Amino acid sequence: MAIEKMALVHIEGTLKRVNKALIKCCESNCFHIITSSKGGDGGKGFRALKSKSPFAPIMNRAMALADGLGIEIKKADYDDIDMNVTIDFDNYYKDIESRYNNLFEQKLKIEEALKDHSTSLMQVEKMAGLDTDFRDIFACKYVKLRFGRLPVDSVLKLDYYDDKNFICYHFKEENGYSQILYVTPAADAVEIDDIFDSLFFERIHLPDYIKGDADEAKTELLKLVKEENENLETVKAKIGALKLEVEDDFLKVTSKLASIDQSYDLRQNVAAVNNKFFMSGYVPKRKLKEFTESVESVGDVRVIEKPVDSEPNSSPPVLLHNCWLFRPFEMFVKMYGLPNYKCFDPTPYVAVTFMLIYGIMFGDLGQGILITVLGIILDKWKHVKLAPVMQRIGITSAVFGTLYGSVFGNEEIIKPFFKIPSVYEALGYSSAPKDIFQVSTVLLIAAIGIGVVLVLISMAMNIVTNIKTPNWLSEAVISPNGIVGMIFYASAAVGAALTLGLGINVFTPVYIICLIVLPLVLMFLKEPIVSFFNKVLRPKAKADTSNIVHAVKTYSDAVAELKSVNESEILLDKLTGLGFVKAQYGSVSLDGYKKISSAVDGDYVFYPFQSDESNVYGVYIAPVKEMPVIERGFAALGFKKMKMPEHIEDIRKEQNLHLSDYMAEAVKKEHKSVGSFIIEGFIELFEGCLSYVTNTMSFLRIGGFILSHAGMMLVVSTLAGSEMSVKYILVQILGNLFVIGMEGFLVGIQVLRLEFYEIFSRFYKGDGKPFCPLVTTFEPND
Amino acid sequence: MADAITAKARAIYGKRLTKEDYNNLLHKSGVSGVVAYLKTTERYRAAFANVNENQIHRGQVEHILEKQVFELYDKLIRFISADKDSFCSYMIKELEIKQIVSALVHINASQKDGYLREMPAYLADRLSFDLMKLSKASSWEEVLDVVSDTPYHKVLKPLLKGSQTGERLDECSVALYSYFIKWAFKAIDREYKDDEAKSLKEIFLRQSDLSNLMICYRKKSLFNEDKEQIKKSLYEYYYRVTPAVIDDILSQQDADKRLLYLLNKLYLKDKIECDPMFLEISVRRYNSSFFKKQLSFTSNGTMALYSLMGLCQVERSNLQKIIESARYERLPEETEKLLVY
Repeated sequence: MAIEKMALVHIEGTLKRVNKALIKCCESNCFHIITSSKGGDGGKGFRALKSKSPFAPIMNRAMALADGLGIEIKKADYDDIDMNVTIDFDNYYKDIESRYNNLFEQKLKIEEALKDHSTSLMQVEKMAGLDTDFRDIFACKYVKLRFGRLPVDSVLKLDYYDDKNFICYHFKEENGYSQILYVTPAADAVEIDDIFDSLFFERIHLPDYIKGDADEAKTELLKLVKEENENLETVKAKIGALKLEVEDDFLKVTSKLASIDQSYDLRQNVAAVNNKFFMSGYVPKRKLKEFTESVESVGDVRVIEKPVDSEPNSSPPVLLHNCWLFRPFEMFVKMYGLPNYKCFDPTPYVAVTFMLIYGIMFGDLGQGILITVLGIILDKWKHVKLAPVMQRIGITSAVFGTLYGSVFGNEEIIKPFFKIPSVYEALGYSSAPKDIFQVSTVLLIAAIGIGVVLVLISMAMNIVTNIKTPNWLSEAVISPNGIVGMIFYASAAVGAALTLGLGINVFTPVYIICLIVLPLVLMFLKEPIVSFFNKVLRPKAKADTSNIVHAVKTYSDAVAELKSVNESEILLDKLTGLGFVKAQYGSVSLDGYKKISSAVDGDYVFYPFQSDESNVYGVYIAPVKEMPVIERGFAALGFKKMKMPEHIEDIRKEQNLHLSDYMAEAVKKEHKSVGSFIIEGFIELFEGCLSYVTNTMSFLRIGGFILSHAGMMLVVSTLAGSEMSVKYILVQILGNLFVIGMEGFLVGIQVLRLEFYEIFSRFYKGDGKPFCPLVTTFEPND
Repeated sequence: MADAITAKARAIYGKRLTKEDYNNLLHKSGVSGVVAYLKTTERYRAAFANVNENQIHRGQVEHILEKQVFELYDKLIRFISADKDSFCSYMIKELEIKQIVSALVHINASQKDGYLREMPAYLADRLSFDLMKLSKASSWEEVLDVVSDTPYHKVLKPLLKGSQTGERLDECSVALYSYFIKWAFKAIDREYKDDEAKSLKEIFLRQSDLSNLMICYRKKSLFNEDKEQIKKSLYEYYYRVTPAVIDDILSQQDADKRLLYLLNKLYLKDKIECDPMFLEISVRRYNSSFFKKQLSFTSNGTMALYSLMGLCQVERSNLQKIIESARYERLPEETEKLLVY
């Protein structure tokens, strides 16, 4: 369906053009860079390009300047900016900095003064009632005065020190503290200070420019605060004027600087040898020509297209491309996980089913139109991601609302479908049902019918997806979601429908044995059937010792494969005995494993021993002379060398032990007993059958919500009454809004649940990786 | 109402400091660091809201922590009983005794304003005697005079009259706390029945047992005091540590081992590792786990209140140790050993 076709491109050119090429790649907005297989250890003589950007310090300055000037950094077109070297950028920013720094210093000074005045003002306000001039207080030579605050609990304790030489004035009490001023002769200051310290007195130092009594000081400080605020506004205005003056050029220059600076960061994905650079990445096929022309315009750079899956360490990224109708529903697919590049995009299926089910569950002409209008407003005004979805589901809601004859809950304006004589007669009613509740049984059966159809479509999708994969037998044929499962499910559903609905009993012994029991037995015996097929029916691996790659997934499969090979060819003792063979144990990704035969040239054998979800563990054996070439080939596939496990070493030392014997012995240990096979098989079968029932029953909610919607609107209309009045209008408006808000939202969640659990779980694996094109970012460097 | 109190007590306990909080606190530098962290916790945010952590003194932090526990108690007892003689006013009684003993200790040490500095002024209106007068008392007679209108006068008079030295200080303390237990038992008998009364009394008997063991350890092992002298300073309330058990401990040459054995056997049940160096911590750990258990399972509001207060005291004690360590820059690992979770 709609996964954008990708092209794998290799870009190569002379090293001096690497930055320009990277900048062009960034500008194209369609290049998903990958680490080149020629970098790192992957290719002989290749090294990964790594160098620190000389533009990084200037970029940091630019970001600080933008922050100070309040310029919101965004990408700007910089074609007309003719700056390329550090000195150009340095001079440009120096010029702005010289003007800005002066203003910034003024701003800092004013802010500091403002902070001082505000703190003093706060303290002086707490001393309301002090009628002594602060200048007189500060001028005292023989007495010491201390302003500060004392915990209220300590104030009581001052009585104890009645006989001590101090006078304490209390001003204001708040937050558990009392603002005080104590006065003591200079000679006794040490003792008195000690007493107050023990009572947890917190001293406040007032600035010496305060003058007058508390009220006058407050007025004076208020004046100062006002003046400084005015000064601050003036400086801010000057900074604003500077911003306006430089903003356009600043954005252009900074965009160019960011591109150049970022190109140095991206160099780590580039491999270099001698005077040449190589990098790889994916480009949407339809933009390839444009991209190639743009990058090659740099000069001395070539863009070469390769087969899309020829990069050993990487699989193509996924970019969804759908028509306008389905595009908003990509959000739900991304939420679950992007599809694999080789699979198909389920967005159209999700879009159709989502709109359809939502419409059925929340069918109301008036409310549907309202949801659409709300979606349009939210999309235009706030660009809410969900808004386009609202527009679409609103329309389906309106369509089904017309069928149900429901306009804001009123079912008398339009004639519902179930009141049309031909329809209700076909449904088995002799007269027209009064309301939708009377056809509830039909609705619930229809809901199950929709569920059965959707489950069957999902199974079909699973079969189509997996039929060409190596695991087609276990995934597309003998699986609960494969052909066998589909036959069982469809037979059971059709049989039940015919028997219960039309009274035609199709459950004859032949029907039951062929379409019910046989599929169940096949599913129960899935594991031995697949194992037997792997052993007997699949083409045998090549029996010579070169290029043997066992397309196996499990440890047991590996043994089966090895047994199928002529043992004389794989006698380790013979190989080791010759003395020119070297073995290397390690792991390789599943993708890399599949590509071994095409990616590694030379005489070697690769024995897979074990595998897990992401890696295959095994050993490759090759002649010593060929080993460097083979090693490079495996390294390019991401083969991670690991220490040879003890038992492998033993095999190599034991001259008479066959590898296959050893592995057969090991397999015996993990061989399943008949009992455990029956238990596991039964549980899996039971789980599969249970999932058919629960998944199908889950669709009952479709019918349930139709009734729930009708019920809620009935409550609204009962509360509103039948007479037109202010109350009627108010209750109708609020009731409808409440139903749209609550039920509309709930239905959305329920539909999403059906999509993810009942539908996606049968065929979809969200294991694709997103397409992330290079873009210029504006981030300060470390 | 009991259910409401129990639920409220459990909810308050739910806001206690967690192990992660303690770990963070242990790594704070200085008292200001500890206070700054406490300001961020739900439990202590309000108590330290207006405090300037850069100027705060260690003593003030301890005052605030003590006041916080009392305010919590004060808030909760309003839901139970307003009667000042009811059992629920036990904390007021306990604090009164604590103030008298503290004043006596400072007088004995001739620290003129020592008690004043520690005095919780927020209790001034809540106690049955004048706290300021007590802070000004410079002799034992003056203390007797301050408490003349209270039951403590009768308890202290035979011990303090004419006595000018600190010889009888321990006896005063024991007499006052014994009076407290006696008062508590009377109040419990008056207000509670059967199992409720029994379980409440058991708390006091357990505390009396543990206090007696601690006194024995200190006086016998650390100061090697005379057996009869030690017996005089013990509480006359026994639960599992009966007079016979005490006789047995005090008769042993190696009292340490015997005492640890009995403590383990009678209370700790080997669940808490007991080291003579950290005997006090072991007892606190026991108290903590006992109160946690009570708070979890009780349906008695008073028991929930008492357990919660016990746990709050454990937390306060932990914080005191952390603040002390922060002040004197002790290693966090060493302080951690002194904490009870």
